[in-house]
Order: sequence, then C-alpha cells, then structure tokens
Amino acid sequence: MDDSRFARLYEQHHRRVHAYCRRRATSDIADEAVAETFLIAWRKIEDVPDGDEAVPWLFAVAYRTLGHQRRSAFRRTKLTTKLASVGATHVEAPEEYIVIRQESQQILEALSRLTAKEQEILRLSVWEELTHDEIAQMFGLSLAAVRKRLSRARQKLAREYDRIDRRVFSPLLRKEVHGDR
Amino acid sequence: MVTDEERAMAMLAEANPIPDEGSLELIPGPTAHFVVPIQRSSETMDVRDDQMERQNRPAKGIRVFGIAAAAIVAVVGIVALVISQMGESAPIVTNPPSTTLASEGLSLEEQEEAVRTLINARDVETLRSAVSAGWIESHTPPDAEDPERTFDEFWTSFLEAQQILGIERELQGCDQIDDTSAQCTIGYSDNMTDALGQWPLVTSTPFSFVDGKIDMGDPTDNFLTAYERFQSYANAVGIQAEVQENCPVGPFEPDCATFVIDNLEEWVAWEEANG
Repeated sequence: MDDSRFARLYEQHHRRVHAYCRRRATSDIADEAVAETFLIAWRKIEDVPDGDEAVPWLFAVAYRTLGHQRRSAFRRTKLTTKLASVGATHVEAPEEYIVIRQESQQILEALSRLTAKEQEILRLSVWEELTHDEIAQMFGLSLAAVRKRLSRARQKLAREYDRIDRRVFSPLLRKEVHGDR
Repeated sequence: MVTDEERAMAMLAEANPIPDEGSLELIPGPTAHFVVPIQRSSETMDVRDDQMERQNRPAKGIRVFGIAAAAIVAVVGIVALVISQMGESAPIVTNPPSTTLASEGLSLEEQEEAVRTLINARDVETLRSAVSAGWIESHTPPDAEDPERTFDEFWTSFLEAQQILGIERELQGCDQIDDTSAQCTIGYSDNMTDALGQWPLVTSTPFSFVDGKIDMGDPTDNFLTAYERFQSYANAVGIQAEVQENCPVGPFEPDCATFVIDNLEEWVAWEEANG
C-alpha cells in the first residue's frame, strides 16, 4: 500500500469530491459519501489513475456511492428540495436575490424533470466543469455518445424551463423580470 | 442573441449550490476523515462493495429465453433507429447495395455513421420479415408464438412494453471485423437500471450482414436479468398472484411492463436490502 500516494490523492482531490457530493446530497450524506469514496480509493489505489485523471474515477465512485446511500435511506426527495437547503449564490440587492432565487428554483425544477442520466451529465458539465472526455472516461461512454446526450439534455432543459417559466410568470411580470426576449 | 438553451445553461450554472469549493468546511487531512469510517463499517463496506460489483457484473449463464428475447429486443432497437431515420415516406430498399465498413482511419463518429448507413441500407420490412421468416427463429420469445395474435399485434404490443419499460439502446461505435461483420458497442438502459443507479450498461455485440440480413450476436439481456430479479422480489413479498395476473405471457406486454413500473420503488428498496 502506497500511503504517500493516497495522501497526495486525498489532498489534491478531496475538496472537489466533497463539492461534487454536496451538490447532489445533504451535508450528512455527502460527508459519508466522501469518506466511502476515498475508502474505496484507498483499497483500490493501484487502479486509481494519476493526476487529474483521478477525478473522473473518483466521481464515478462517488456517483455510485451516493446513489446507494440515497436508496438505502429512502431519501428520494426531489433535487429542488434538497438543494433548497444548501444555500444560494451571493447577490447584491434583495430584489435581485429574489429573482435569482426564483430562477434557480425554476431551473432546478426543470432539471428535476429530466431523467437521472440527463441531470447527471448536465451537472457534470456545468457544475463540475468536466470536459466531454472526462465524462466519457467517468462512465465508459464514447465521446460521441457524451456529446449527443449532452446536446439532448441541454435542449430538454431549455424546453422544460420554458414550460415552468410560462406557468409561473404572467406576461407583465415576465417582461419586468426578464426584459423583452 | 442568446438562445433559450444558452440561457438555461447559464441559469443552471448560477444555481450551482456550491459555487466555490473553497467555501466548504472540511475536516483537514485524510486520517481524521477516514479512521472512523474504516473502524465503523469495514465489513459493511465489503458487503456494499460486493453488492455494487455484483450489480454491475455481466449476467452469468443467460438462459436461452433471455438470449432469445434479447436478440429480438435488440432488433427492435435497430428497427426504431431505422424508422426514426427513414420516416414513413422513405423509400424501401429491397435489394440493399453491397456496403462494407471501412473503419480504418475513420473517426469514431465516422465509423458510427458508416454503420448507420449500413443498417439503413436494410429496410424495416426486411428486418421484420427476417424475424417472421425464421432466420432468428431460435431467438423468438414465447410471446410471439401466441396463436391468437398476429405477428403485427405481437410486435405493436412488444414495442409499447419497451416504451413503458424505458428501454433505450445507443449504438456507440463499431469496429469492422471483415467485409460482412462488425463488433459494435451498444449502451443499454431502462427504468430498472436507472432506479438501481446503474449508468447505461455497455455490451459488445457482433453484427453480421449476410444475404441481405442483419444478424446480431447474443447481447447481454439486461432487462430479462432484471425481470428475473423482479420475480424473486415478487415471490419474497408475496405478490406472485398479481404478477401472474398482470404478466401471464411474459414481461414484454404493456400490462406487465406497467405493473413492473408501478412496483419499481418497492422493488428497488427490496433489492437494496436483500439483493
């Protein structure tokens, strides 16, 4: 067992793995998932790629671990509900905060209407900022498959958001909030 | 001009609940983070890890019925692909041209396109006729042999059941073996694999193009493997009678597929506890 290699792996990537888990789960589940992810990495250290290539490997383990924990605990609340407790982005003015909160909730609701796979690939691309190559590596998909799935997911997200947006805003309020589009 | 798609993606980025990884309050150092979990649950982890590996392990000893229906299911996937690409008014190619895959030097996308072209050269009717004519006779599931239904009725029902089950296949790429055969990678997923948290399962499947027919090898039949597990669940929780009522002729019927989906959550929970 190469302890120094594991220590380096942990120091280099634990924040990113933790952020990955926190974006998908509540704090307690995320903490446990991070621990389990690195425990598996520790046990399978020989299989973990070096450098940044370790990130997709760790994310893949974290993805399975999170799914396993959520199902085990029957924590099948929707993404919107889970993320609502995590906190919002920093904004300047209260009225802007309200609009962004509203938009965030709407886009997250739209996201929750996509399939689990579509949600995950969008989050990996937008939140984790993984490249197409890294996503392909993470899930053993071809580059072409990742591109297609991502493209479909983006289109679907825009459609679902538009449906929610129409439902929530009256035309007048819509104009005030978003401007003329 | 910002498109709706770009706007949605920008808002999704804005909705990132942890925009700055540095803002997370973490316990410093691996030792502090790991001693407790290792001491507390090393045995549990072994079990969980084994369960996860078992879930992702290809099924062993697939039964003839499994192989049979898998081949049919795979053909349906191709039919759907062909239908989606040809459209209703597209001309039917009764004598497909001799087409070969020249994968050498081609990118993955080009290889994929080459295979799609090859598949498109064979028409839907050829595929359906091939199945009904018996070239895939040994692969015909019992459902198709119902004397009270025509093949078209079976086929319609079969397609609907697949839709309910959320079965998706994606041709991800092919390597040419020779002028008439290729080894293709197919991603497979359905509502069960989704619920179990499995990413699309990837199978490597041989294709051959002989005498105007597309023949497929024996892909791993993920759904039927899952259906066997569903039956185990049904037996364990005492709903065999309901299964019998809804699934009298097999899983590829709309009523049965609906029944499986209706029981999905309970099944997955049971799998987690007992699988």
